[in-house]
Order: sequence, then structure tokens, then C-alpha cells
Amino acid sequence: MRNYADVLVKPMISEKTIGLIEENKYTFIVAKEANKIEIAHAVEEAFKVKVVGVNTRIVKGKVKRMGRYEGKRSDVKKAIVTLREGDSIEMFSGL
Amino acid sequence: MEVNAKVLNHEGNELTMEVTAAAADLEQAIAVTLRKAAKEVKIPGFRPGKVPAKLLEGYIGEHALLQEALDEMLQPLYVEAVSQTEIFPVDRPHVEVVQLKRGDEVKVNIKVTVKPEVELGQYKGIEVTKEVYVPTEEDIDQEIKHMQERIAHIIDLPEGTALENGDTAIIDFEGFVDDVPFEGGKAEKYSLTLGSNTFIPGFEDQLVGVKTGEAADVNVTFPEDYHSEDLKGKQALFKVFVHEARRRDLPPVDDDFVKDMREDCDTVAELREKLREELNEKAEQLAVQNAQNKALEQVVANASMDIPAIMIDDRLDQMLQEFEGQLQYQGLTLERFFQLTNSTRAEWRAAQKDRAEEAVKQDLVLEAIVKAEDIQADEADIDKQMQEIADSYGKPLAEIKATFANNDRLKFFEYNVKMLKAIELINTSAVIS
Repeated sequence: MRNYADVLVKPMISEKTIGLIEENKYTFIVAKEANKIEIAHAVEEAFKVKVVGVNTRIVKGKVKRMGRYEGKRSDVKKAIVTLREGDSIEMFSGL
Repeated sequence: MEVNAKVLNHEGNELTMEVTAAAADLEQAIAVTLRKAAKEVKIPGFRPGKVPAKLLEGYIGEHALLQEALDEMLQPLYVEAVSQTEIFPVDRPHVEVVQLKRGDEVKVNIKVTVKPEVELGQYKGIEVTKEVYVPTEEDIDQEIKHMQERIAHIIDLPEGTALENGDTAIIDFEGFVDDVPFEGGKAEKYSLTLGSNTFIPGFEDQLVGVKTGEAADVNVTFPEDYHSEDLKGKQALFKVFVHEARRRDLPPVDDDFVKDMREDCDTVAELREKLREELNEKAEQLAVQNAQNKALEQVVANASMDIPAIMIDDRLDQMLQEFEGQLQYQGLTLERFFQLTNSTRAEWRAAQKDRAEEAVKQDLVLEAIVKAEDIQADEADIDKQMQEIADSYGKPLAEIKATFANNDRLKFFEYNVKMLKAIELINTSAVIS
């Protein structure tokens, strides 16, 4: 996975993640195969910042049913990236 | 709010003004708008009302946001502009946005119809003639008759008495057209007062002279405007039987009667004289009132103005509302009324249009007089008017005052008092001959 665009899918914006920005932590949805090291590199490359920590988790897709047919939403990988103090990411900031 | 209003153009009753408001006011309006919107929009990941303002702005979009903010601030802006330019709008304003950008002052052109300028004609010392009605002997007779009727006894007439006008007869009747009985033409023990014009013309007249306990034939022709299509203009024969009848027994007019009725009179002659005086007085009052009304009409006619159509329309709306209120007293709704009279709202409006125009004119003229004469309403005048209301509701003045303490209401009273004073001015200055 060379390109950061392949790793970072989109920023995740919610009440909770906006609260986390205070702690210099930014949340992304990332590719499921990506590991913490790749995510750290991708964020550093994409936003020109220094990453000091990455926490990831896989959020299981919900099981949804429509009558007798059952389906499952895709699982997604969430990454909470902690930046070096003083760094920030524009895409989120200003919120 | 920092508002600056300037009249650009005033032609006829159309007025255009340029109104500006400070950038800070716009920002404030935006903040209010966002706060309102926050409660309504749903953005995934946020509970309602918890969306950060910045995010919300992006979500709503700059253009829509500005528009909403303008709507928000327009009302106070307009009120302020109106009071600054001292105009009297009668219509809703039309707003044209000249500049609406964040960080800049807001600039709008407002076009509105205002009250027309009234050119007063002569309004003081209007000459009018009063026509005093001189009561006749018959009028006095009429008055006495009313008094008699007030204390009249009702007596049953013995069988065989001939009916007179004013008697109430209990009758059976059956009607025939071409020897065939018709629908609704039959009744038993019906109580009919002769001369009350309850039945079709001619019916009651022909019963005069018929004796109780006897039968009679009544030949009548249904009037052309009768409500039933089948009977209109038809000859009809009614077979009538008179069961019994009652008569109002009028007491004789003598000195005793006079003493019963009036404490201040002893003889019939005295009563007649008193009644004449009273009728004269009433006639005089009425004549003066009529003359004053005429004077007011004259003043209105002397003035010239160009009334915007919207004012008449507004007045018609108001009149329709009042009318609806009256109907409600009688347990009717407007819809029902129009159904019954087989008319429409539009027809009613058309019929009342002249009256509405007159009323608008009169108000405008009186307002102009108030301005020209610099008529003021002081507290005593307003109190006096409130006292009248207090009396009519049977409540103490203080309570009424508290109810109307609201500024707008007080203004309304002030306005009323001024208008009344203007009318008074016309009345007192009018030369009545």
C-alpha cells in the first residue's frame, strides 16, 4: 500500500470525534487491510504532521434484515491518530 | 440594531426607501438563524442541537444562510426604518436586496404603499341645515297606544264575536289550488294574529268580520315572488274555521290611566302636552345629529385624496370580520350566511366597497384634521374613554387600565380620542341653521 489515498478512506466526523480533537486525536475511516504503521505513514504524508500514536478498531457492520432476507453491512476500520503536540489537520480544524 | 433609512422616492402613494444595517447586525442574525437551524437539521453523528456552528454553515450553504438571516432581521429592520422615516405604510413592503454579503453592511430597497396625502378642504364652520321633524297628533296617539298596549289585558272573545284587526284567532285551514289540496296548505288550531302579515297578503284581511265558531272561505292569490315554484301567482281557496279568538283589551285613556302611567302628569291633556315636548326634544336631537353627520360628510367631500386600493381592501377585510362576529351572535357562520342568501364573498365585498371607501376616507380626513389642528390626547381624555368601557363591563377603572396598559393598546385609545376630538371640532364649529 504505497499511496496514502489507498489507506485513508475518509475523516470521521461526529460529536465524539470532534471532542477528541481537543486531545489532538483525529479519527479516520481507513482501509481494512491497513496496519497501524501504514496509517501513521499515510497521515504524516497526507497532512504533513507527525504522528505519535495510532489506535485502531474494526467496527462490525450491523446485521440488517428486510423481511426474511438477512444481510450484513460491511465492517469498517476506524483509526484514531494522535498527533505530536502543536500539529493539527486542517480538514477537521475550524470546526 | 444600527439602521439607516433614507427615502429615495415618493411618488403618489408609492414610496421607496433605502435601508442599511450594520454588518454586526447581520452576523447576529446569522447566529440566531444557526441556533434555530441547529434544532431542526439532522446530521449523522450528531444529536439534534449539538451540531457545531461551522459544520452547520457548510451544511446549509452560504446563500441559503444569508437569505434566512435576512428574513430574520427584516422585521425589526423594517420597523426601525418606518419609525425613522416617519411614514405610514398601509401595505406589506416589497423588499429588494441590494447588498447582502458577510462582513459588509446589509443594503435593501424597500418599496411600500403609504397613506395618501390628504388635502383638506374647508372643515371648520361648515354650514348645514337641520330638518326638525314636527310631531303630529297621530304621533302622540301612537305613543299613547303603545302605553295602552303595555298594560293591556288579553281577553277571550265570546263565541259569535266578529274578528277585528289585531285579534289573535285560533283557526283550522286547508288550502286548495284548482280544487286540489296542496302541500303545506293545511293546519289545525293555528294561532294567527290578524294584521301581523304572517300569511300571504289578503288572507288576514278577509278574516276580519268573520265570527268565532264559524267557517269562512278565503280567496287569495299567491304573490309572484312566493318561494314555492308550484304556487307562485296561483289562485287559491282556503277553507277556514275559526275556533276562538283573543283580543288585547286596551284600557281606556282617562285621567286614572294617565296617573298609572306617569307620575308627573294628572290629566290626559297634560300627558299629551308632555309627550309632545318629549317628541319635540327627540326630534331636535335627531336633527342636530343628522346635521352633524351631514357636516362630517361635507368635510370629507371637501377633502381630496388618492386612496390606494389596498386600504379599501383592508377595510373590507375588517368589515367582513366584524360582520362575521355579528353573525356568530346569531349562531351563524359566514359560510352558512352566504349559502342562505345565495351569494358569495366576492359579491358581498363588491356591495360593501363604497361603504368601505367612505369609511377609509373619513378616517383619513379626520387624521389630517388631527394633524392640521395639532390635536392632542391627554391622559384625562384617555381615562374618560376607559371609564366608559369600564362602566359598560361593570368593572373598576383601575382594572381596565391594567388590561390596556400595553403600549399598543394605549396608542389605540389615544388615536380614538384624537379622532373623536376631530369630530367634535367639526360639530362645534359647524353652523347649523
